Order: sequence, then C-alpha cells, then structure tokens
Amino acid sequence: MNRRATPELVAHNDPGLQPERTLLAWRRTLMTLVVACTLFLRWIPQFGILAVLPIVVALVLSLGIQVGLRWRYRRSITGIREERLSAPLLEIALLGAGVGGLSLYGIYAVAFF
Amino acid sequence: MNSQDHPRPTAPDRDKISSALLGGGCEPDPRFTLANERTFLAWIRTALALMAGGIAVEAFTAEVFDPGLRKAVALTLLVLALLLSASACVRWLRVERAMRQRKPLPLPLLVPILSLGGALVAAGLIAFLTYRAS
Repeated sequence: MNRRATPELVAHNDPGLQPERTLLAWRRTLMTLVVACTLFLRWIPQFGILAVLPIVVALVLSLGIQVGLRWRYRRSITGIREERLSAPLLEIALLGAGVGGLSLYGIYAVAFF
Repeated sequence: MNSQDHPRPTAPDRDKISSALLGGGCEPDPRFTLANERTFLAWIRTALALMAGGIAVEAFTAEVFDPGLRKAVALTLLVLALLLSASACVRWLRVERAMRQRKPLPLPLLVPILSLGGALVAAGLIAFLTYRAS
C-alpha cells in the first residue's frame, strides 16, 4: 500500500490504539461541527448572507484543523515512542473559541430577530 | 501502563505560551494527554448537539410552541452550548496542569452545569405540556 497516499497507516507500538482513536475523535467532532452549522441555513430567508457565515466559519475551521491532524497523528506516534507529547493548545483553543462563537451567534440571532 | 512506575523528563521543551498556560512540572504519559484530548472533544460534541438543538427548536417548532416558550427553550440550549464549550477548554487545561504537577484531577464543573440546564429545559417542557393538556 502506498504510504504517501495514506499517511494514517503508519506503524506504531501502542496496543491501546490511542493515536487512531484520537484522530477519529477529531474527525467525528469536525464532521459534527459542519453538520450542526448547516442548520443555520434554515435562516437564509430571514438573514440572507449572514445565515451562510457560520457554515463558512465551520468549514474553514474544520479544514484548517484537518490539515494539522495528519501532522498531529505522526507526532502522537513518535510521542508515545519517546514518552513525551506536546499538548495541542492551538487546536483546542481554536475549536473551543469556534464553537463558543457559533453559539453566541445563535443566541444573537434567536434573541434579536 | 502507569506513569508513576518510572520517572519522566523534568525539563520539557515548551514555547512561552505553553509554559505560561501549562505551568511547571514534568510531561505526563502521552496516552494520558491523548485521553484528555478525546474527553475535551466529547464535551465539544455535546456542546455542538446542544447548539444544533437550540437552532432546530427555534427554526422548526413554530407550530408546536408559543413564540415566547420557543425562544426561551432555544436560548437556554444555546447558552448551555456556550457555557459547555468554554468550560470544556478550561477543564482540559486544568487536567493538563494537574497531570503535569502530579496532583489529583479536578472535579468536572461541566456535569452540574449540564444536569441543571437539562433539568431546567425538561421542567419547562413538562410544565408547558401539562398546561396545554389541561
């Protein structure tokens, strides 16, 4: 199998499959983010282009984090091997701020329109 | 594997932001860092479910609820989503710090927030349905 085409399939020695489980947890979350934001499209008749803004934010955020996940997956494999792994501060902060910001946007839309 | 079984490096290479946020201490077992990450993601998915629920209530239940009640339920769910997403970040950071300093893990503040919020929304809906049936 071509390793370059499937960068996820890198050998590691963790029987708990933690790198895969974490990678899949990130992907599930990013998919949930995009699907949840499609609900904002229901407000297109009322808000117009402003109703599209959340899904644009969700897509940009998801794609950005998704690109970093491949690097992060490899880092987690070497981290387990070397018994040292840096915390993903940026990704956590971006996702937390993104979901918080989208919730705030929803509150604004429900309360004032 | 237990991280207490063998000593870990005590002088981690961290940038300034990481050092300021994570504090001192030594690096925990990478498996624990990954487990904390997955727990954060599970809380974020819960926040996303609440956010989607809030938007769905406002957008799709116009024929079921009065406008005031609909807005109240939607706002409660959205505020819960906001609180959960902020608390998930804080909890992730507190657990990371506790692991690095070999301290007991902090209690989750998220559980009472979610329980109280969920109970509040459920009580409101029960009261509404009882009132409408009578």
